[in-house]
Amino acid sequence: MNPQSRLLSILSIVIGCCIVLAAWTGSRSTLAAGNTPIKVGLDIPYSGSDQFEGHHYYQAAQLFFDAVNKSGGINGHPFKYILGDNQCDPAIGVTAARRLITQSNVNVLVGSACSSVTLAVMPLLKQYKVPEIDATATNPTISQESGVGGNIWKFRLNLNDGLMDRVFGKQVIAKAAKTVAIFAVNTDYGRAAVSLFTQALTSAGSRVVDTLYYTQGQPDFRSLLTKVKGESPGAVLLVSDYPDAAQIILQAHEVGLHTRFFGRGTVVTTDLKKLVNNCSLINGIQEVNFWAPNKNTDALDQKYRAKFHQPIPRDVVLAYYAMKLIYDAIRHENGKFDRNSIRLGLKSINEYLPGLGHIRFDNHNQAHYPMFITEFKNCSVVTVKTVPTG
Amino acid sequence: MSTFIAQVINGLATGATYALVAAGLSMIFGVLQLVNWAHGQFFMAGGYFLYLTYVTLGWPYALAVAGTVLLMTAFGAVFEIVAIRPVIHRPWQTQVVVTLGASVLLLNGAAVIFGTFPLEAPTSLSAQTLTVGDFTISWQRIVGLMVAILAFAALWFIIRSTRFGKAMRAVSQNREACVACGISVQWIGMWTFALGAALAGLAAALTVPMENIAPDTGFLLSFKAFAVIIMGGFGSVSGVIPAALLLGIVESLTAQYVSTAYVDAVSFGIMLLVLVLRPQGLFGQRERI
Repeated sequence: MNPQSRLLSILSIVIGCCIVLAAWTGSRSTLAAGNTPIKVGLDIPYSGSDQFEGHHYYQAAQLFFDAVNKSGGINGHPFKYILGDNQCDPAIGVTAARRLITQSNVNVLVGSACSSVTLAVMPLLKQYKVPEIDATATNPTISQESGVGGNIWKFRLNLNDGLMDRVFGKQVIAKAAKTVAIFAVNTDYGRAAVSLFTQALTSAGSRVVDTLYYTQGQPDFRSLLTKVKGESPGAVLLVSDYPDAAQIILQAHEVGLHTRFFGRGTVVTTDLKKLVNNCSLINGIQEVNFWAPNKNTDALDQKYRAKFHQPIPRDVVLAYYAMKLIYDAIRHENGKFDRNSIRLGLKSINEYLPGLGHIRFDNHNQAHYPMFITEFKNCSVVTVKTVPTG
Repeated sequence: MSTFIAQVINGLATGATYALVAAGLSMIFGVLQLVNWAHGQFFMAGGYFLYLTYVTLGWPYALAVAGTVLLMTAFGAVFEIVAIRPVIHRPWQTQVVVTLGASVLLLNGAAVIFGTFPLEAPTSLSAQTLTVGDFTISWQRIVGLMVAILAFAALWFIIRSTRFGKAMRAVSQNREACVACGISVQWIGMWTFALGAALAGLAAALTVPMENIAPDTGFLLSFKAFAVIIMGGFGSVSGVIPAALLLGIVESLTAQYVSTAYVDAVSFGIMLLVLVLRPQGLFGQRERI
């Protein structure tokens, strides 16, 4: 082999290793030793346009399971969390979940975080009889099809759009504006929310003048905003997460669209404030959400700040609690962690989670606690109202 | 009518970004006969370079843009030497795997280094706007458009009038003849990559002050760039610029008069139509580059 060929071979090997290394990030797992580990599959978007959400779930796992493992796990069994990157894409999500279930042999899944992936993965849960608990996906169909809806393996801790959007649409947005334009991410989450808000606003006497779907991560909203500007709506509702919502708010200012904004996603958050960095553009925005910063989660916030040096985001709180419920479910079943025991344990959950409320899953495996209506006041996130969800 | 004009201007601004990214991609294909699937991540890397120079190091914006372009030139050259040169004579499947792998590596690398939280680098012009009648546009966007026009003119000059540009065109037309004539094809390939990366870096440096930068920035843009080079004619830089501007305008008008949900569908529908009806591209010509 001449030196040039050798160099080429070495470079090829290095590039090959790089590719393998990159692919490896999709199947990263923590190390565990000793007794049989309790395997938790993280069915989350660790890359792609929703990766910030997946990283929050992963941080929650680091925060919760690492602490539990330090104190000996459950009866000496440590938790091992295994990442399956669903990229918030249903096709990739099904493959990632199948790999977690059949190859990694996980005992329970946390996720899928995105509604589109969740709906695609649910048949797998039923087929392989593996429980999964979600902390952020909000499409109401997930609960309709869970528990007595047919899929006994799917649980959801966070509130869904069916519980939140009608109330927020009727009680808040319709009272503030007679005409509303809706910007929504073009996913199952966005489309379901649009349908619910449109019904709620129409029945409360408001008119939806336009519905504008966009691709998550889309950088340029000016043509959409120029269109809306011509329609002069009394308010704009953003069914969005903060990266997109920040772009929309900044570019609305650029095209001269001055109107009131409402949110359903992660709009009234410190993350959005950081990105917009202009209080006059965000003050007054209201949002309905399934968590807002509150004193009852201060202890968790301190723990998070100590490790990650920033205020705790909503998705970390919910994912952390979802993992805690798995831990409590196993303890409730006297330490048994086979898939069915964990499912039975989750069904038996009846406990108080600080900052959320009393948690019990209904016959559709949906948890209920009060929703939060939040607002930017003087550039701070303030809870203006909590509304029971029954 | 004013809305129509506003949407056309919006489309031109969007199209200018597409054009800068697609021009580099098209040049690389024309000269090296290689599809660079990592080109969207070049845009992302350019965005982070701007962030580092402008925000972290505190350079003046103009200097930060120049720094970003220079850093991306070096990045493109190194990328060609490390990732492309070893596989340039391998089958196209190998090249696809390498550029796709590199794109994943760059994306994940950015997430590890910079985190997944979007970063912002607004300039003093970002929030200042020019209003003409009903139409409002940011001064940063206007500066971006002007610089893009200058960049296209410079690119045109380089390709048409310099020895390097002539050599690029020669390599794209007949690689073997160039080798026989003593033109260093390897050297031309490296500088083509460097120039393509510099253009992606310039596009990022001009748009990031209006938009955030995150690891997946450039992902959607790379698909639009592929649509543009198919519409303009694969390997034809002169076809890419009008195709990009046309695509930008079509997208804006689709959002205004059809539906925002169908913007991407219309873009890629046009791309498919061009592939079927005019495979050489809307502005395709016999001569590449």
